[in-house]
Amino acid sequence: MSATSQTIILNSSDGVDIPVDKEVATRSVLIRNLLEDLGDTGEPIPILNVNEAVLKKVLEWCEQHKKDPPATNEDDSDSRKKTTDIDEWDQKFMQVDQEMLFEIILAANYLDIKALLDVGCKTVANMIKGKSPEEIRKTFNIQNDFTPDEEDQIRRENEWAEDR
Amino acid sequence: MASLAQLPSEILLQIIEYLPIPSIAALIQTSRGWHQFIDHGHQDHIYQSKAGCYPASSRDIASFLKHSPSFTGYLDDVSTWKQLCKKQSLLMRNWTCDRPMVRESLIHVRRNAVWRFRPDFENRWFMSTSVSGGIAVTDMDTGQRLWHLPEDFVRPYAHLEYDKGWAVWDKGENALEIWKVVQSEGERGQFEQVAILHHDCETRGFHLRYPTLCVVSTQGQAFVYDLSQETSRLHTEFNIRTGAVGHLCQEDKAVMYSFGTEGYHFHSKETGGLLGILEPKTCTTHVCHIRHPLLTPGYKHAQVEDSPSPPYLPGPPTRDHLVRLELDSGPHSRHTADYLSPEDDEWGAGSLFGKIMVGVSKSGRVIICSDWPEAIRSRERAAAVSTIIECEANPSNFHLGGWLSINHNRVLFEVADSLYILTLPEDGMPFVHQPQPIFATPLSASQQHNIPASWMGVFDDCIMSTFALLCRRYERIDPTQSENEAIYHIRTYATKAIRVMSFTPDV
Repeated sequence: MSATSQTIILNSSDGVDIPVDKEVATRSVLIRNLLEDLGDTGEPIPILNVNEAVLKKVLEWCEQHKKDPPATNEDDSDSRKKTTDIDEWDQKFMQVDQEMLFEIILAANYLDIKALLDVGCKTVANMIKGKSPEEIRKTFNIQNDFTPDEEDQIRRENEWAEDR
Repeated sequence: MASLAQLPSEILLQIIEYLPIPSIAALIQTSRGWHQFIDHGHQDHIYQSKAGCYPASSRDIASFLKHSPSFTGYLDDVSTWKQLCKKQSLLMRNWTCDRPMVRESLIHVRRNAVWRFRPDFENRWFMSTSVSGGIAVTDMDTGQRLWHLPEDFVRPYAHLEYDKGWAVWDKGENALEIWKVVQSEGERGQFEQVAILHHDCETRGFHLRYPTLCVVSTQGQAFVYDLSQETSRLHTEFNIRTGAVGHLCQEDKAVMYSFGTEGYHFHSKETGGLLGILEPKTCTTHVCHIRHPLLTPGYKHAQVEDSPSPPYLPGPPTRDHLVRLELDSGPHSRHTADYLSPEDDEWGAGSLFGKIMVGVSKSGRVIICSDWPEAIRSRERAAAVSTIIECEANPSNFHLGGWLSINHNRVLFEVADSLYILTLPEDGMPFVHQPQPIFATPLSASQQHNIPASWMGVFDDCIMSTFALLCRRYERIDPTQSENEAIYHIRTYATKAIRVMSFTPDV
């Protein structure tokens, strides 16, 4: 493949070649670094931890966000002010089943796409916010393995934090 | 199949960073795994980022607590970030609930009526000037006098500024006394003179934020001193408009002067250059009002203090000291023509806290500007980020000199005979969008004896102000009589004490 063509090929963990614009793929810091290290050989780049379905989904996000300015390093350490607002396109994008949601988060983490990882974490946070322990268990299929005594004690320990 | 619990811990922690404390508490209660992960594995990490508004540089609890001024020592026994969050949450809840539980302490500085005062939470004392002259350092916890200068040394009604062990008061004839605490193993609260600053123009007000002292004159001059330098070096002297009313306030880079009908002028402390002007009269987008509190003081029995210098004792907890008020949209429907219109109203004391600016006017208006650097760019921006709250003043006896104070998102101000407490929304939006509870309390023990506050402050766990009350003193008619046979005169006298209302909840 010639250097003028901006297409590269990613090889998913289940062995599928996926051609993609270089500009789109390099939203991933991992891929950007690989390309820099290996040089543009035209060989498919193996993405060991991400299967085809998830990789395509992640690339869909990268396509939409390819023009985003690079993340500013404005690390607001005051987490009380962290908002969980998500823009509309991303909200729709994240309307997937839970398994896919977690796969996307894991892929974003592996591929080092910070903005996507943030959207994923916010999405999960929004699924927890405002819910009672029982509602959270239901949402995420968490088994309540406390004994009644333990449960009672932990409830009392954390009573102060309840939203009133 | 991926599930929540299978995400690596660093991602789980990132998710938790987006959760408010109640959701973290709910998550802890879902299962042993989550309880273990949050409360045992990562408790400090998680709760440290949720704790308070103090310098993010506080990496450990001890240094955090050192920067958390507290009257009651509410946080003294805290040893983990989670405990800290718990105590902060309970304190916050008491501030913003419908009927806060407060404890009142009245601290008398001998029989002297207090004029200005300042608390020093780290050293646990108050410094105060007096209506009759003199200055005193009083222990915050016992009421004991630690140090004083008599009336011949400090004039009556001296204005006092105090910060981090440095005190400045006016000497008269446009001179300022600069004193600082003596660092020694010996007696606490001793002060020594550092310098006297003379001015050859009429100086009106000064504001200390150590090491910077800003001084304003009515005749168009302003001064910025650096007290950390030998002989309190003059840092900048520059010209401002003439006619400053004397109120001023500084933050990191800027100093703000009050100009009555013309609002507030902001100058750079470094260069003296005019940064911009905030004119409350042009802020007409967000206007609301508070109906005058019909204060039914719970003070019927406190009108007369039996002892002139009672030991410091906080009163019993009560929910009756504060009156809950409602905020209504639109201007106040004034009953009399004595009120100044928004165009003619005169703006006095103003305070800055980061980007927030608050100011109070002669006719009982309060401006709350959520972003003053933005507001001084244009009138449109000023109107967008400012709210005017109108309160019922008493135009005949309200003088330009009402006080106010701001600490984080809490504002304390005085209009007519009442002290108002309000909590601003956290997001910096104009006040009207999310009204938090507003409270008021009288500034005097009896309604026949109304005297304006001469200083007030709002802090993390309390409010403080001067408080006018009548005291009773017993005097032996014949000093030679023995105690058993003595006959006493009862003399009643008016005075002003320091009143502290603590919001610390019982845990």
